[in-house]
Amino acid sequence: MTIAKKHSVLSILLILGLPLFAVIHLFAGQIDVSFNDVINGLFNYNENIVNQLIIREIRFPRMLIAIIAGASLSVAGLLMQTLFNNPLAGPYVLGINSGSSLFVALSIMTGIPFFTSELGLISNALIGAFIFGLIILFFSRMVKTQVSLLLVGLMLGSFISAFVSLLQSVSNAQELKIFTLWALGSLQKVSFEQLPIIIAVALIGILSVFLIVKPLNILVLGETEAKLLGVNIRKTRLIIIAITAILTGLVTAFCGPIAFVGLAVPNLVRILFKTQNHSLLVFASLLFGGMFILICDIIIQFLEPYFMLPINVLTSMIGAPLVIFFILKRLK
Amino acid sequence: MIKLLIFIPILLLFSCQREQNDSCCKSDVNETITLNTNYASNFDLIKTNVGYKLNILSPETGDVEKTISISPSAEHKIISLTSTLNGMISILNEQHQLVGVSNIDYIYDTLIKNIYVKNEIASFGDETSISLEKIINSKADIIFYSGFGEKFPHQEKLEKLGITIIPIYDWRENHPLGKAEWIKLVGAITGKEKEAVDYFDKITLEYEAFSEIAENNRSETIVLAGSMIGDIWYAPGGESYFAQLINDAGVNYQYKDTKGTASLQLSIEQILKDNEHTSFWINPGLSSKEKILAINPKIKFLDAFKENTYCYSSQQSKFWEQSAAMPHLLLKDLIHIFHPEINLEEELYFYRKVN
Amino acid sequence: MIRTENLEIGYSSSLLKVENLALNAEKVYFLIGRNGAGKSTFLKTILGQLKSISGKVFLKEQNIESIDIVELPKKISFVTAHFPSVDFLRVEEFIALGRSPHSNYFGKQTQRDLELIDDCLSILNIENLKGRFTSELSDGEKQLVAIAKSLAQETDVILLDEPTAFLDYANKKIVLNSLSKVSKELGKCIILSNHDIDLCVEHNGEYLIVDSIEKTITHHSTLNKERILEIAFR
Repeated sequence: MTIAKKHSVLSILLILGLPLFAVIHLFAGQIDVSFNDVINGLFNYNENIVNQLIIREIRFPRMLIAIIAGASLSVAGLLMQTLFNNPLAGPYVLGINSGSSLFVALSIMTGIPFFTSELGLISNALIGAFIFGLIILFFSRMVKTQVSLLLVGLMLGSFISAFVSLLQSVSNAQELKIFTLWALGSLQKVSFEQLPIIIAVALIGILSVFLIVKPLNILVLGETEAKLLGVNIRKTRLIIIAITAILTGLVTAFCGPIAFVGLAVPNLVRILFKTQNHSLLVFASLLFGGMFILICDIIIQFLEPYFMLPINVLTSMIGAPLVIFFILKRLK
Repeated sequence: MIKLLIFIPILLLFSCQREQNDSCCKSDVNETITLNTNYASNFDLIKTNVGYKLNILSPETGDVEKTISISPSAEHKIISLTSTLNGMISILNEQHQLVGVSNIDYIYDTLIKNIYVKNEIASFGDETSISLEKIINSKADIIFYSGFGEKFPHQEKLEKLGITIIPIYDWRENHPLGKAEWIKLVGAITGKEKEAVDYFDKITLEYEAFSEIAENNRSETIVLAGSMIGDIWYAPGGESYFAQLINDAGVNYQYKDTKGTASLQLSIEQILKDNEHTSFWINPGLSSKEKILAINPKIKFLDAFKENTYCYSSQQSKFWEQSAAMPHLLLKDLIHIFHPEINLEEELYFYRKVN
Repeated sequence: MIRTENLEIGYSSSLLKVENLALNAEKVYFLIGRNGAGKSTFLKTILGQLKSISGKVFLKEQNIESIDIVELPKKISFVTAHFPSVDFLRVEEFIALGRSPHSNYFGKQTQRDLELIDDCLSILNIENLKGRFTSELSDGEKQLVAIAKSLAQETDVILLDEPTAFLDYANKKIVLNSLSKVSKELGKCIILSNHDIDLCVEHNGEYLIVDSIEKTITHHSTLNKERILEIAFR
């Protein structure tokens, strides 16, 4: 099979797989819903029928945010990996999530109404992600090896969580509770009415990635080579950090932290596609990332009658061993 | 087989625990009188000729977890890390025996707060972060903490220093009066045993009277309880003290037929599906609709949330400190809420409507 | 093709004075000198990556410092000493990146690009490497692929930093032969730093010798081995 043919087959599988799992997700869960409930819930909504309410207000937003979160985090991870020339990079391990969390914590704890509004929460999450993106960029110029950047990121993450704990200890009980629960991570908080703004922000982030595919492809060779091929490194770096901040901040604001997806998915996509062509990598990471969290959430819904698993716990259970595997593969 | 032979008597012991206790204590009746614990199942109090023998029973097995001798006369210095026992100490007017609480911000009793201001009571934090030296420095001789089947931090060292450490399992009782009965333990320790017994008898009568009124007005109203943490709705189990309380209020708890005292874990989908016809939601854990929605916006689709959510009084510390010792008032509040047709005239004591 | 005028190079202070040079197409220039004598500094200055201390470099009579950084990669290319280690980057994808200075905003490959990549492979006799991952190539193959990428860049000038440093003798010969061939057939001006004097002498190129005592770079059309050693390594 030629490479191009293999890529088309994989792409078609992803294109078909995402809607397939999306539909399965709509039907998964403890409450049995009929095909008609789903159709009516989406197109002919009557909020007095509980099954339609469950489809429209609970399952549909949960399904869509699962796809958006998976797609956004995976592309953000891919961007980090290319920018730092480091397959072990990702928004979670480099502390970008934590930066977002810190700013959200600050905004919740201060109790200033603007900050606790929806817009305030998103903008704080974005600003936090951007600032910590710049910080990790600064450190990346100082460390030599891929694993040490990872360590710096993890330490940054620990430092922030210590700081957040300090904030928690001085805040009052109810604010503390709201923050603690936010920090657990959840796909279930988004409401139907919030979807348009989330989709809009995600699209802005994702579409702008396609505008920088060319410099991304060249950056794979490292910054020295990229410069020799005419890439404006400073500008490209800032654009990448900004897009990463939008994508990570959006997900962090609405779902809380979701670990390791951003690191694991782009690596899996590279292993599957065996290419460094970023138009293909971005496209595949979007679909595969969306599918990854959908499948995780289907598993969670399936297990609900026995025990409740937060999304962040499941992605860590799958993601962390993968990361160890990638590290071992690098170090050998 | 041998294991089974050992196991059967244990099971028997467990199933008729109360009778066992009574008969065992009658055997050495010369020296001791067991104070009847009518509702509480996690402690026994035995009066001896030198004071009291207190048996803390494990809620899991019913076996004696710890035996403590209490001398009757002495004034104690008590660190109480559970708010329910602080409430009981206050009812018995023995606040002056307290030298420590877990967090003064969560204390409701004004006298305790006043003593704190005079630096005679200190905040110790919870047991996970407690300072050994601070305990020693307080010269405390008794520590109450919420039992969870594990030893208190530094237990051996503290016991060597003569400090008595008492795990409190009131929260594992499955009858509201069982929780309240722990006041007898507090009475025995603080030298107010008679007052404690009288108090308990009095509230038992009141509780039973309210319960009878409710029973005569029993309705088909369905009540939901509990709150969301993360994506999980924790609701009291069908055999828990709160399920009992709702039943005694003459209404139906949505999950009354579930087994066990442990909290149920439910998804929001399940909650919405089950509670289409539920009229009341009680104990949402937060004091305003806005905060409840901040934790999970999906709750707005719960019909009972729209009109009839009651939560603890905005002073949550009042609820935590007093509700255990005042189940009659708790029951009265619930009857008031669930049966508007019964004219109880008075204001709600613990609860208020969430707005 | 390349002309220098009163050029002095260095990082913050003058390290070397460069004789006024006039380097032409269809020629290979060997830049020879001790380690640390300033070979890389010279290459970076010619590339426009490093500002000269004084004097000027002209590329086709255009001052190199006045050429836009987007235009420069279309005129001059550089083969670095270290081949980037990247997983899952195929030979043809790697070479295609050499086309990026010429491609549109999205980096779309044209039919001509694809043909050119094949031509670059064939002139270096490495068509057989097509489809392989760059991470799986031998050191010699990597060097040839790197050269192919700079050929794909279609520049008049190609600079190479120690292209034979990590190669065995056979591969060194292959690389240098390929470069001679390219300079003749495609009319390129090639400058490479090197310290394999024997090999250089075998190829009839010209020499740029770094004299680290006199602090100069001088141009010699022909030289014998002893003379090179005398100037460069005394």
